[in-house]
Amino acid sequence: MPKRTTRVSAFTRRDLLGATSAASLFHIVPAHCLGLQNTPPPSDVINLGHIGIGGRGKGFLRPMAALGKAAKAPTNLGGDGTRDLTPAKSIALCDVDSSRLDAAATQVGAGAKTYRDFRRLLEDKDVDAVVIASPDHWHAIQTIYACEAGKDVYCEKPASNTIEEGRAMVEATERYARVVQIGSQGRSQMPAYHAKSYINNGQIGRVREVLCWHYASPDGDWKTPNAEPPPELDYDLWLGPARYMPYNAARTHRQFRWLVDFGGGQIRDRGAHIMSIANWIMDCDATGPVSIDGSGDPPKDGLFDAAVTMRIVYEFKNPDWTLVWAQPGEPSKELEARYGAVYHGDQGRLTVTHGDGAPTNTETKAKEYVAPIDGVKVFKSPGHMENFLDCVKTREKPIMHMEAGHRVASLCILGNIAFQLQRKLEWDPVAERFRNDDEANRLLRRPGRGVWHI
Amino acid sequence: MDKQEFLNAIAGSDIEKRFAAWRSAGEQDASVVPALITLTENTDPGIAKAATEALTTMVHACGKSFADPRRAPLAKALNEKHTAHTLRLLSLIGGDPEVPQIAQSLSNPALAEEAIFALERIPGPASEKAMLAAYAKASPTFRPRLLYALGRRRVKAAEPLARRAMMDRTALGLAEAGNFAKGRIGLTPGPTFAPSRTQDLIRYAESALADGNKALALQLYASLLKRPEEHFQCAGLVGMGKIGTAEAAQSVYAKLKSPDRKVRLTAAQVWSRFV
Repeated sequence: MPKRTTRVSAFTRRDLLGATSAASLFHIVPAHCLGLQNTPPPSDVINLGHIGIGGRGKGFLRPMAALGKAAKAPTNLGGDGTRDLTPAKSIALCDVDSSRLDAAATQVGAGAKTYRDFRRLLEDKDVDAVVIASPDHWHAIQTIYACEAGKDVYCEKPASNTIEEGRAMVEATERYARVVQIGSQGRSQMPAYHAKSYINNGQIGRVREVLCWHYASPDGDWKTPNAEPPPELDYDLWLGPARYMPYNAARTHRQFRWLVDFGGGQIRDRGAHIMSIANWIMDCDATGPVSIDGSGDPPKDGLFDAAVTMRIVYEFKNPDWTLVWAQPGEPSKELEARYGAVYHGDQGRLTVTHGDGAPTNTETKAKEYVAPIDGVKVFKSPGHMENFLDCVKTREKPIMHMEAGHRVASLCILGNIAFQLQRKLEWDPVAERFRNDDEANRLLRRPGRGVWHI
Repeated sequence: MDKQEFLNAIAGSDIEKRFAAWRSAGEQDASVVPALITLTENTDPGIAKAATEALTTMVHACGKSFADPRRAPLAKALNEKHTAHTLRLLSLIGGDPEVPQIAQSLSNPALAEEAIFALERIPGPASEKAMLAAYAKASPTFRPRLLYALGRRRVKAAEPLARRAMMDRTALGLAEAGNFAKGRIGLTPGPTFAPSRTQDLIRYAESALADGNKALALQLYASLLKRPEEHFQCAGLVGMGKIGTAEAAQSVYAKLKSPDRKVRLTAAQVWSRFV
């Protein structure tokens, strides 16, 4: 250690600043310097590749023709609606379903390259960053491979299907110094910003309990039989690392989320939004609970296996507080919404609703609150995708960085494990292992199928 | 609920009774397992589901500890007839006594994936030895899968297998699996280690560092800094930051003036940890 200090002291902070800032000042050439009135110069445009372009994924497409046209960033991804869209274009598209691929190619316009296998898209040197909106069981491998290929990543929530996957995603992000944003866009929405500012400045006192409510997951049926996969779908590639099971339309597009092998119910689908805001407000982006207690009921019959009703109680220490995920739970008395969370402090309470694509909301008292000049300052995201694109340029950590995404996904995963095992589990949030529970620890990892391994 | 009443409910047509039965299956002993396994293959999907969930509930009821007296008999009963589901359950409660039987299912193409899944999840040296032993007898198409499992478990004894596999020029899949495994297992420093994927070399450098071989790690990370790809240079910088020596710092310093913006900013971030 002393040796290291001796050697490095030869370099000063001035050297460092000179080396980094002088060059970066001249890196981005403004469009008008190149004589282009509307079209941004290529060095300003971020080239996007898209992996998974079905229901959610197509919402991220940036058509070529839109480049250079003035537009504001959409507020469904957060921000205050005043921000001009950062120049970006969709140059590469990938989906295992060729009908979706064709539709997306039409939407984007001529010139976009199309791929069925995401590994080929990742070989494309022109792609700067990828947007991953495939089913949950693909998130880890695709994010890790993208980092290994030098791409920055915007990955839909929840980040991972197992604790091991999430930690591997964090390691890959750090190993290659990539920018990874997980798509829990609630924290980028203005009401969440207001709520965090209100609570972190002590307006409801110390928060002791956060109670989430959500309606139940569907219980499914047997109406859709197993069948041959449709010709447009590469079913083996759709399954990827997940265990083999016969094709069934009610298990694939959209419906995958009601099966634990691919998704895992509302606690993952919406929990990754609602509990993301909770982790952000409670400053728990680098830690987790010390115990998880699970109860509830699975579907009595039918194809699905994710919990229909559930109640998960997470206990945190230092500071001590409790997070409860309940479907159905007790809705807020202050704001009407189908899902959200009530933050209970020792001097009051505050409701924050939604946190996903539906309009997030909070109470007027928080929206009108102005933090004192010496109060806690909260980062105001320009919008979830905009924040990501900013970070692609600055190399800073985005608002829902990989570690934060992993910790939120961990809540979803741990909740589902406690539900499956129907017992209280003791969790070490540093070692990321259960205490004294062999079976629960085996559920932290799920080996992949065939060649798909992290 | 007595045994026969329980099995009748599972095999019956009343959804509510089936549900109540499989939710209470933790009370049953291992003697119901053969009948339940048969019912998992029932043509009525509701009955098959109830039987499947009943077996799962029984496993969860005793899976917490090896000391639970219900656990060993249940694992033994599940090991009597392998199906995809019984192997999945054995991955949760199987132990050394179950390993030889599970390893036999590696040679059954219909069950091989679930068998390796179970072995990979069952902790301890017995499952590792079984995977190693299976390698010699495995079909060429299944050998890569075994190497992935051995690599993920970082089984040191599998290093020679991984090294040989990565040199294989006739089977690309095997060579890739060999690279994957070798990178994660580490050992045997060498200028001869030339993986087809740089990602595996980076894992190898991490393994070297974890084994305390800073000199080798430094050499490997330094090689990354000479690569044209910015993300490999960034990985080299991050690795140098982990090594933390003066020599590593010097390498990082040199990259503070890189013409590539990402490399320059990553170097600055790593450098800030040195100063």
